[in-house]
Amino acid sequence: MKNKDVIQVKKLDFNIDTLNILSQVSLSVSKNEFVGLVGPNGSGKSTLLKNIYRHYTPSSGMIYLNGKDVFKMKSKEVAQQMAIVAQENQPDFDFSVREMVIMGRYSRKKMFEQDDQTDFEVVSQALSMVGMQGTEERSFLSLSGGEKQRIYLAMAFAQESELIILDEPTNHLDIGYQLYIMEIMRQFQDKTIFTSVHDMNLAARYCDRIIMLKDGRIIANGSPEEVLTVERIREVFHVDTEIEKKKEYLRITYLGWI
Amino acid sequence: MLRNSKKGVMAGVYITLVVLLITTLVLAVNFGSVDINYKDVFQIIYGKVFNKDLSSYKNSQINIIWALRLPKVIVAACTGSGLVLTGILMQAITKNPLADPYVLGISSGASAGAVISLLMGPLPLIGKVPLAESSFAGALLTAVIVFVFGSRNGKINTTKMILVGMALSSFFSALTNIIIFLTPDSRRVQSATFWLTGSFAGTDWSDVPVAVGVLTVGMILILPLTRELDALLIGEDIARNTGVNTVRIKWILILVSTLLTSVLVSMSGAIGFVGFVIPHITRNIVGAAHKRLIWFSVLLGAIFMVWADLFARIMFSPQELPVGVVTALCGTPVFLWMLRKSRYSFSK
Repeated sequence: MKNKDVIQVKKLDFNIDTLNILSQVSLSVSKNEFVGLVGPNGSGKSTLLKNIYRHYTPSSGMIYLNGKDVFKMKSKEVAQQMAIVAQENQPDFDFSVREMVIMGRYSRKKMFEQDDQTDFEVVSQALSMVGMQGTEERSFLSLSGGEKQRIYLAMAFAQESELIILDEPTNHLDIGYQLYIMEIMRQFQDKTIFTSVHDMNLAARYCDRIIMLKDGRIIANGSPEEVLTVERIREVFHVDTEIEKKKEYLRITYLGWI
Repeated sequence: MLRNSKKGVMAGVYITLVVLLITTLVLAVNFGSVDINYKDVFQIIYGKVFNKDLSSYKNSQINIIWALRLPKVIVAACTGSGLVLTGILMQAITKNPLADPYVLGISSGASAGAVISLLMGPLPLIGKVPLAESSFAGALLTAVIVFVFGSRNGKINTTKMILVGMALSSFFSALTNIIIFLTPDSRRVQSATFWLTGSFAGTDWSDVPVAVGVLTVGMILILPLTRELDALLIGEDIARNTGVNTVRIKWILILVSTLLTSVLVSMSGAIGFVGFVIPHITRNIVGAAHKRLIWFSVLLGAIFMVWADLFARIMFSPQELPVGVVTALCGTPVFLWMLRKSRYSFSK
């Protein structure tokens, strides 16, 4: 059972100085699961993900990637198994789309190894997955915000990793793009997705499982129906809701702040 | 212009640049306060290299070509390349288009060291320190302070490092100014100012192996890292996410930059503008990816620097200008023109 867990987090604590941001977080994400992380601003969603993808170092606790201590792995080894799409700052220098996306191939290349036909094919495939086929030679800086985010997504696909972590990549994008990205992710039956989600309707619709954080602790972990209840949303978000099940999805209507 | 051009085209471009560089080198050896015709230039260099009989030439001719101009031109080319390479590295590591080889304050430390050697008498305990050694010591001291204050737990904090560099820069400039201010001998002050602006006037053969060596080492260490440089220029987070060991890479880049800057500045002073402006000009031509950028920039840097030095020597001949004055005078208009003309934007 253990080796089916792609991510395993055990008793993770993360403090900044004396401030406790995450406490005793334990969770696991299994192969081919689509798991959403929800919670109010400041609940520690992004901090948790950043610990998993090694941007932060935990104060205590363990994080395993496919059974290995992630902090003892080599950078390239991690990147072969885990791709990250986060909200990125724009570069100040102008690269072409191809030059950007091919960065995703880095963990598969040896020093001095030239980019070969396989790499170019993976790049163009990744671009078609995000609906940006044929844009290889365009300048990255000339793209719109949503297009840029799609290029970052293609970069992650080009990594050909089993696990993709999405750290609020869609926050500043309009609802069309948010749905679009979730749709693309949903299509990958053979990938494991762990994503933070703001919109609970999106979470309910796309996630197999939802983990809810509040004040740095996991307060619920289960199917959308188990996690997203009127009482819990009121308690955690201070929002009154009506929740009904239409077709196979939950539908959440926000009634107002309390 | 050549952003998406094929490999074959790029090969042609590199060959053209190499030919241009060689032509430039020959021209630069040929021109000067005393003109010597090309045939003699070739004969003398050929004769010297292969130990042939040169008795048909005047000693003064041989001296001008072999002892004076050739080492200068070689060092100028290496310095141009080295400064441009360092500029590229600093721009990648800081992800800032305004970075140049001197952002870490290394050059101001070197300048202070140089001025100490040029203007102060023998120092207590160590006695009289030669110019290059003193300047190199100043550069290294600055580098050590920058490393100590700019890193934590073995990790480089780029912003902190630059802030430390800026602070040290002001400190060492102040120190340099105090020493200049307190020196009564105006001729020595002039020679110090000349050095500070950057010049190859004092260059001889002993500098050649150092310049060639440091550039070679720099290139050998950096050429395997073009992918990593691309990733850093896109963003440090992206680099880390795609599998770049950013902690290690940043140290390599910083150490190579420091080595190049310290050595080059202690030989010829802080020649401004080249290391900052050439990378931008080349990005405009070949794009931001480093595989092309480095070769193109390094060749262009060498060509530019040799021309700048040539102008410095012949413009007010027989008087020689500091080459740093020339690089800034020619570089600025070119850069401004490029900013206006091109679609190249610094950001957003």
